[in-house]
Amino acid sequence: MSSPPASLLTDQQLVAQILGGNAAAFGQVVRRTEGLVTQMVFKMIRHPADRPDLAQEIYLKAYKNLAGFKFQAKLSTWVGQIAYNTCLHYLEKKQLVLLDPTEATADEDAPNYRAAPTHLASTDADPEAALFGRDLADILGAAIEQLPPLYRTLVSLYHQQELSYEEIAQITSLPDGTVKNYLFRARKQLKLHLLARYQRADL
Amino acid sequence: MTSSHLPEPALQAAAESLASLPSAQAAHLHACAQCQRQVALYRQLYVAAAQLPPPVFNFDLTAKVLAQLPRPPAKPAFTWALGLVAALVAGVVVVFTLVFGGALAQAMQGLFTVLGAGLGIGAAVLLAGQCLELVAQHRQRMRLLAFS
Ligand SMILES: [Zn+2]
Repeated sequence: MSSPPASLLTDQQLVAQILGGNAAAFGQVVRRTEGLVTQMVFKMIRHPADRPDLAQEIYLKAYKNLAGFKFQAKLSTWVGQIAYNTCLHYLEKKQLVLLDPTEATADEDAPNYRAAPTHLASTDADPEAALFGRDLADILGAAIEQLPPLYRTLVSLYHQQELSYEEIAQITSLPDGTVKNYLFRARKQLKLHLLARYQRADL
Repeated sequence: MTSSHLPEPALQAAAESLASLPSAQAAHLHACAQCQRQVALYRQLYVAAAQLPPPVFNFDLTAKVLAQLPRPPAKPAFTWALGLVAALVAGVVVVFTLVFGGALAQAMQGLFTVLGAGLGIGAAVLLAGQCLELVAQHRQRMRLLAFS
């Protein structure tokens, strides 16, 4: 009886194959998680030249530590944890921050939030329809890039990778409440950015 | 109406799922066009974010990673080589025994004969020496008895 293709193996079966000496099966781990890892590396690391080496370092760490993976979480979550910690270590070495402390403690009623064009919301103008007519993807993509690296990462994990709050909390070792709070602030900043773009374009 | 517009967290939650709103907030949203626009904007933002093209590397990450994995120890090859050497040595011993076995046995047999003869002669010399010593001692005692 032939064994099932690697793409159909469960996490446990895949890990058993690799630990049994089938190093090529690790390719399946990369294929299953490279969307997540690439997303995290691109969002956490601003310097493009450093991203390829970091992505490879993440997987080499995962391979070397695979025997220590005890299936407390999904394999992808475990690889995500390694990706997050590896990028965090890189940022620390370069003395870069994932989130400026002033951003982390910013009150949502702070002046920069009040300065947002909230008047648009009370007019009859429909910002959604207005934005729809422009290249919303481009505007939003640029707005996400302007967020602090941690907010960028959380937005991409939740809205693009479609991870749950709990999975994001596991990957980042942040409390659930902190993940929700940061995502709330990030979305609000994105909304204000879109509204500001709408206002500028409307003048 | 404006005094009780939905707070931002409720607007964001409503954009994901209206079912998540408490009934009072749901009732307000149902009646308030301004909050509906805000929710619609967030919903649009979520949809657009989900549809953003994911970043990709311009190389095959899987192939690069696999090429860098540490090579497994060469245990099977080493075992095979060791087995081959052992088989060769055993083969040489068997062939040598088959070809030179008779001559070797004869050589060993001759060796045993010479050794046995040597040992026998040696033993006989020792025995004769002991006998002569005993005879000499007996004569000495006889002489001492005769003079006492
Ligand atoms: Zn309202």
